[in-house]
Amino acid sequence: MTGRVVPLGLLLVAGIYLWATVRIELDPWSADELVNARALPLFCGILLALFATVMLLRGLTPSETGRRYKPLALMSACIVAFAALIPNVGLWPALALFLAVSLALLGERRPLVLTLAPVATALAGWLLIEVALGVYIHPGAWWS
Amino acid sequence: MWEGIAQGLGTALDPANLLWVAAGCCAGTLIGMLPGLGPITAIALMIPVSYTLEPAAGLIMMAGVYYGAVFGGSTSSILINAPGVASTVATSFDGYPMARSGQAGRALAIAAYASFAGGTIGAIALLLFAGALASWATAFQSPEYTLILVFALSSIAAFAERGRVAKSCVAALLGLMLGTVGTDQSAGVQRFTFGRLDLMDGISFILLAMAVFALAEAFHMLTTRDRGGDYRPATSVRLAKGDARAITPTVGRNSALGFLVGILPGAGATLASFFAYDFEKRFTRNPACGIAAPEAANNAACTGSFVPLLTLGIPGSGTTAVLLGVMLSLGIQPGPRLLETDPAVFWGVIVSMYIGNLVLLALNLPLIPYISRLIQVSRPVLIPFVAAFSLVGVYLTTSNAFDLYLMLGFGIAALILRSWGFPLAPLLLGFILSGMLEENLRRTLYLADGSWSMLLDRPATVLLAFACAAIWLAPAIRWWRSRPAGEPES
Repeated sequence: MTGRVVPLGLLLVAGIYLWATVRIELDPWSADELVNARALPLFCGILLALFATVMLLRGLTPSETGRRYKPLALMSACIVAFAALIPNVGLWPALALFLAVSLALLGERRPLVLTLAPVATALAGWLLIEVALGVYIHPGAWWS
Repeated sequence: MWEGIAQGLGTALDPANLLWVAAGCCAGTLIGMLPGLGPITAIALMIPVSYTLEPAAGLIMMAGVYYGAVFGGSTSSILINAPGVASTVATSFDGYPMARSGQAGRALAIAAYASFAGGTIGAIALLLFAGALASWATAFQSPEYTLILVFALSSIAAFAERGRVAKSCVAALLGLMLGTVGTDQSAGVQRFTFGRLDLMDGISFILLAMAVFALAEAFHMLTTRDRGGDYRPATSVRLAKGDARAITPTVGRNSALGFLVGILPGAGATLASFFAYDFEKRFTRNPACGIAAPEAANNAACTGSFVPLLTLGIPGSGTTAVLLGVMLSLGIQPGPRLLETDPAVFWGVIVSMYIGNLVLLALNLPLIPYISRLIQVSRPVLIPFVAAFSLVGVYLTTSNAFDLYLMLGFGIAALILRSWGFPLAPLLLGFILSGMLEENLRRTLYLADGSWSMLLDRPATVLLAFACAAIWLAPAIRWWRSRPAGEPES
């Protein structure tokens, strides 16, 4: 059964992609053209559906098994929090927080590494990008 | 010409310019080494610095940044499988496994020597053939480009291991599909944006490359029980016995290949490195050659991409497009007249490319033992930093937090595909070639009033069509000849 989950997912992707392809609004003058904005997507969508169907019928064998998904879930949550924090606190404070929390979640317990590494990285990034190179990065809604 | 070269030598060997090329190489290497920050970002980040310099010095420094960033990208490809730029993806195929098996120093040394040789051969070729090669490249039109792109997609068969051809094709199709997201360049219509402004410009290459390689690699390390104990520091910065002899012919043929591909506008270092890897794997399975081939080719292609930029004003790649902007802002008008109006700049940049290569070698070889220590960092420390650098790299290029969510989704999807044995390089290749293929195919059909005949009625296109057919037929013929006697023909 599990060997058919990925092909099913691919078939679903192909289906959604083809559905969105036929909804692409073409200009009247390009509708009659052989290669218009729908041509390549149609070609790719149909081929993917064919490949996925064959894989579904034959089944797939995973090349790697025994993965731990809890750390992945925790890291994903950290990334979502990081992306959500940037517009509010700015890139560098969000980066320091992201590094500190993800290091702690992955089992790092040395206080020096947990505090100094994230702050030093964010500070170095700020100095290099904003101070030395003068690239403007929005400071975040909370500080502006 | 010799007078021009002498003038160029004078410009490049000016102490201040030498200093700037060295500074550019250092900055490029450091920036390019960070996952997510490739040559485009490195050059973009250094634009404010170039404004403060004389035009020749500014451009010479940028050439150094370009070379340094390409080499820096190779370093992160080899050490942590996180190529910052597509042209170093092929280096990671053999470089990363070699680093994981405790030969990081050897892999980095091979990359450094091959890059130096590729860049040097490219610079000499540029010096000798700049004018002639530019006119040859301009003779190529859309039909030739279309078939070159089909050839590049066909080379996916070369990346596929036995029994993984269908998976490789699926990965390439997914890449082609992702490449169609955004505003259609020819018709101006929205495709697969689902009404989101964030998707109107399409998916950024950096985002996809970082998600599929760097972030997915971090996720892979996270979800496996391996704590990274198999990493060993690079103790030797020298080539292993026999490496020099093995890689010499590889470097020679792939530098020539890379240079020729590099001068084609739109092709660039990425295609050159994939072509070179594919080409080399037909000769040997030696991983040293698998590193040397793409490294020599991408450095030679970087030099080659300056041919259309300097002589025609046409950028041959995304990076040279940024460089074109830099040149214009420095008051340098690239094009056929640059040689007459500003020979010091024209030849100075070409000569400084060779000097830049020397500086890079002198800079990188002593630094290899320190650089390769990155790999000793324990996984609980390395994973957050790989993830953070790739996320920050993407945010710096797009300044859009939405891209980070997109990146997370692609990273998880890449992990799933990887777990089920789908190779990820064809996905990136399909993504890069998608827009170029569609545009050139359309232009070919416009030129031929909707007829496909133009794809096959020119000598170069016939040759390319045969090459594509050979790529697809060769595995079938190999299988046919190797099947056991008595097996049914069906």
